[in-house]
Amino acid sequence: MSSKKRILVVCGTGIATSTVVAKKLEEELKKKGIEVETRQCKAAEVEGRLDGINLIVTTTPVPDNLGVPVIRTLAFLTGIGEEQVVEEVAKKLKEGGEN
Amino acid sequence: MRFDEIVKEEFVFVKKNFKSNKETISFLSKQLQEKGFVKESFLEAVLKREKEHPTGLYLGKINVAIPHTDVKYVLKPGIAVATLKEPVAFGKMDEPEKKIPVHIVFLLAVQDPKGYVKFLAKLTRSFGSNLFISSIYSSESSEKLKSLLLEIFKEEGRQ
Repeated sequence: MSSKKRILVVCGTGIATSTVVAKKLEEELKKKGIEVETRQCKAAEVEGRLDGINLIVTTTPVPDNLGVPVIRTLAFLTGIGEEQVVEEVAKKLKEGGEN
Repeated sequence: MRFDEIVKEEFVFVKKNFKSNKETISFLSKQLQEKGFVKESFLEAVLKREKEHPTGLYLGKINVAIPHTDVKYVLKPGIAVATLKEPVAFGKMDEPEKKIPVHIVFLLAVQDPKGYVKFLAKLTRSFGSNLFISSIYSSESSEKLKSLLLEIFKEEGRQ
């Protein structure tokens, strides 16, 4: 019913790290049958990039109370705990869809 | 983009003695700059970013850092690597106020993010392997370390 969920992937510069994270997120979610659209930005720009975003996945701290769920994780860079984080992302996206 | 054009032995250094993350980044940045891979302003930009958004990744026993900055400071895509005899402190990427001891530094000269990301994805994927990280860290020569790095890029289709 709803269109693709949008994930904002955030890192320090919004270039290298977030691209890696976005690519892995898309791949892992696809394996679970979840199609998402990812956008990227640097931490300092987050507040201006929230339009239409369902979830933020970040490698670096972002401000509180953005009104969008935030998952801060390095799992997609280190491989440590990656599966759990993918589960968490999938869960958060589902919860968001019920609102 | 071919991976062996990014990973060059002349930018791989083993068992170095540096006292700080700044000293390590400065050394590696100088190597890239002298060979025309990055602009002179690259070093300052990387150090600034490292201060605001540190790049230390905690893996357990042996930790790594991936300092980098905006593409505008880069002339050619590359990577400079150093393993450190004694670890130096880097801020933790997800908790910048915390410091972690880092044993291997990968200074990334990212130019075309789309092309470079394949390389970076493979590199970071390898961080999940303790065996790989410890063999990188115990490499006795630049040649050995370079061949280990190129190995991970050969294993197409590996998950």
